[in-house]
Amino acid sequence: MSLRNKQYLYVLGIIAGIALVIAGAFFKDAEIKGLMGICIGVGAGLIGMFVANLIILRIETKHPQAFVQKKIEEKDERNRMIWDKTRAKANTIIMMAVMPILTLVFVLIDAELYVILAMVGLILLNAGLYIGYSNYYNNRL
Amino acid sequence: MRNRLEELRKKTGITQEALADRLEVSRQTIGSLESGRYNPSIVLAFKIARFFGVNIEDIFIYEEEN
Repeated sequence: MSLRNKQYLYVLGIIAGIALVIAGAFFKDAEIKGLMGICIGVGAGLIGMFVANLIILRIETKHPQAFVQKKIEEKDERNRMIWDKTRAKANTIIMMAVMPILTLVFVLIDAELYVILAMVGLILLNAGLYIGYSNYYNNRL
Repeated sequence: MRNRLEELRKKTGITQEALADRLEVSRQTIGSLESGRYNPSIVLAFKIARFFGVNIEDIFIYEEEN
């Protein structure tokens, strides 16, 4: 996508965000108040994201060399390996230690059943994703 | 795995930054390769060998681990 098209896309995103925030202001009835929160939340998120993208695009066009260097850093195989290992370690610590301990604590303090079930569900989801992706990469690689 | 990257680079008279630019990797990757902390992928090993005009085995020396 060309720089100009990217610029148009980001401006459109900002306009969509503003439109959502304005639309949210009209949902004042008690029944659709939840919708108001969603509209304002999503709208503000869109505005923030696309304004940030526009700023990055401006920096890229003003400092093309820095942009090239950034792309090299992103594609660099050692950096990718570092990021993959870091993500894997962080995930292992959270899912193998933090989540089970937290679930046990919730059981011991007699927390609501849905809280405990949600925690167990997350652990099972993680295990399912692990098995699924292991199979996927075993077949692909 | 040992390598002769630093030796070849210095012989060519090129800096780590310049080599990194030519190979499209970060300067830190070149530093890590030279110090032996990081072993390159086969693609990067080929790029390095082609850049210096030698075979991969002339740069990267595999040693059996005991």
